[in-house]
Amino acid sequence: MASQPEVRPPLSVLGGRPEGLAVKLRSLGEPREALPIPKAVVELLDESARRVVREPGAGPLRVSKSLLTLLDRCEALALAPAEPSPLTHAMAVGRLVDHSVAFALTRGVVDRPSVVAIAMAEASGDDELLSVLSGSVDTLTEEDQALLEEANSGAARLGTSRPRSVMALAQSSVEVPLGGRRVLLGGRFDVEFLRAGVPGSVGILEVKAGSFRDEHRADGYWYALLAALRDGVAPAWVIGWSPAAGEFDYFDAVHATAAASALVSAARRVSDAIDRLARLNESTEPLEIAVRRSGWWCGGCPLRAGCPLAPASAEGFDRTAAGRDEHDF
Amino acid sequence: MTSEPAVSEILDRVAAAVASLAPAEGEGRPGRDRLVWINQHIVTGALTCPRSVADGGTYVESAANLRRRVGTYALVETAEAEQSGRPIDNLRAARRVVQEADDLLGSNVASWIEGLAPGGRTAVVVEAAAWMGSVLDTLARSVDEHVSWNWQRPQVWREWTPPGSAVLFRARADALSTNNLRSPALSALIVLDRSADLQRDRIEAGFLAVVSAAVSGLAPRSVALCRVRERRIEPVPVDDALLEAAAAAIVAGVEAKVAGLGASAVPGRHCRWCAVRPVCPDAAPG
Repeated sequence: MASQPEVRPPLSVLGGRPEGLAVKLRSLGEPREALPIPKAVVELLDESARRVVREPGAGPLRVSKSLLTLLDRCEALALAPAEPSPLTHAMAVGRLVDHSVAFALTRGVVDRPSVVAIAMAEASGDDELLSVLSGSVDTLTEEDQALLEEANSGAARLGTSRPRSVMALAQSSVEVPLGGRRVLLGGRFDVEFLRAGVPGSVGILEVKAGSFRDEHRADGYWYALLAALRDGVAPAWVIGWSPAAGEFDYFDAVHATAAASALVSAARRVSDAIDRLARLNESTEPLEIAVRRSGWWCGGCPLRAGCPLAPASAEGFDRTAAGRDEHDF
Repeated sequence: MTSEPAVSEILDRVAAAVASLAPAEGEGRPGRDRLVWINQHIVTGALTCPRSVADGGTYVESAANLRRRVGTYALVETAEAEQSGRPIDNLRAARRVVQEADDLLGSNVASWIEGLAPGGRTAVVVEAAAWMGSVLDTLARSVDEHVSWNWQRPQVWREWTPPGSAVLFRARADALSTNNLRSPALSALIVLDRSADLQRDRIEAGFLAVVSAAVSGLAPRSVALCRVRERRIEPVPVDDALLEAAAAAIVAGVEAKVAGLGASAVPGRHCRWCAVRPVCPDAAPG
């Protein structure tokens, strides 16, 4: 069973405008004392990674946020062949929000952010997104347009708070090798703010198009852990921001004890995942020994037909049904 | 360390093999458009699957494909701005390069950028700014007082056509160490913005070393791999073993390129994003 987060920083909801975030962004330009990554975090993960056995030429065991989520739900689901899931309208709008935020941080407010976001998708060669939206703003609802406008104006205000010494890196990829490269942790920050070469002067912004669920807290800890392992010190903060729902304060190194505890918590979850994946990988019949759990995710599982635990009725796939997500935090 | 006789012997061996695989026709050196171009993607791609380097899909320009070039020039802009006492950030530097696309990036890229809808240019700026920001951060964390890196405009390409062959080797160095600019034994830096693959990355460093040695007569002392995702610099000493490994991969790359779709296929996960996939009968499903 995955480790549960032990510390819960305060949830702050301020509406769509990222006021608290602006303050934190300004603070990156000021001198700060970096919080070293707890020794226990490094040791725990290194021990787990060194237990992993890899075939020659197989490359490292890759651990991502989505794999952790799948493992939390059901080990068989995590082993299921990854089938490319079709991009939904909501997911496409989420990508446009990312573009809109990146645009605003670079150029500021624009009259029709939806048009600009689609142009950014075109220049990025995101054919999948363009296909879902038929390459036109006409397929966007009024709510979608309002969301993009809020994302644009909110992020533009944020951009004005960015000290000159702080760089903004959109879609910043991070990878952390563990245990002599037996394991590779990987992820991508929506926006990474940093002062080049200044330990601890890193802020991570995760942009959400919709509302926050408490399970996103584990994602926030995961991002903090990735940055901390990469840098050797904790990031200054990790914040989720939704133009619709406000800010979600995942991690703040100012609260050193809580921050260290959050990193240990995230490390336990990852260490647990590595151990489980190693056990499954070493087996000749991994699906036979996988610990299965049923839930709403069974509806989209490619292994559902032969699974003894998958609910027989459609109600079992309803995410809002009683007893859903026993793994939700 | 490399020994001069060994470098010379390796280069002769590569030249002979390449001239045999892709001989020059007629007298004199063939024009560039008639040469088989071999870059680091072909040499390392053939390691994974020889057929994957065949001429395949059409190249499509995109913000992501331009990030290294725009980002490199933005690093030059940043250095020049610092020298003039008016420092600029990564976004502004990248924006300047895009604004001067006609002069800096060539007519093809400039007209592609010109044709973008409003917002498209910003996508190019955002990609390049993220690339250069991650490079700057990586270098700042890996301060070596003996080495500072010089970003160049245009980008540094080492080119070599072995005598008697119809092959043009093009190896890219993203930066050179400024301390040694007058020396042929430069240290070079390659920015890797992908996941680490130790064998492939080592061969890429070796390819640059071999081509540099062929051009200047002396191999660089080392090639630094700038792993931006991990934010660290990995020095790869250039020794005889590296050059030997790279030489073998180079010859295999030329062989694969010349064979085209007739080269052997090694199906796998990489088939998903292979340009040759639409015409490859052996592509892995999925």
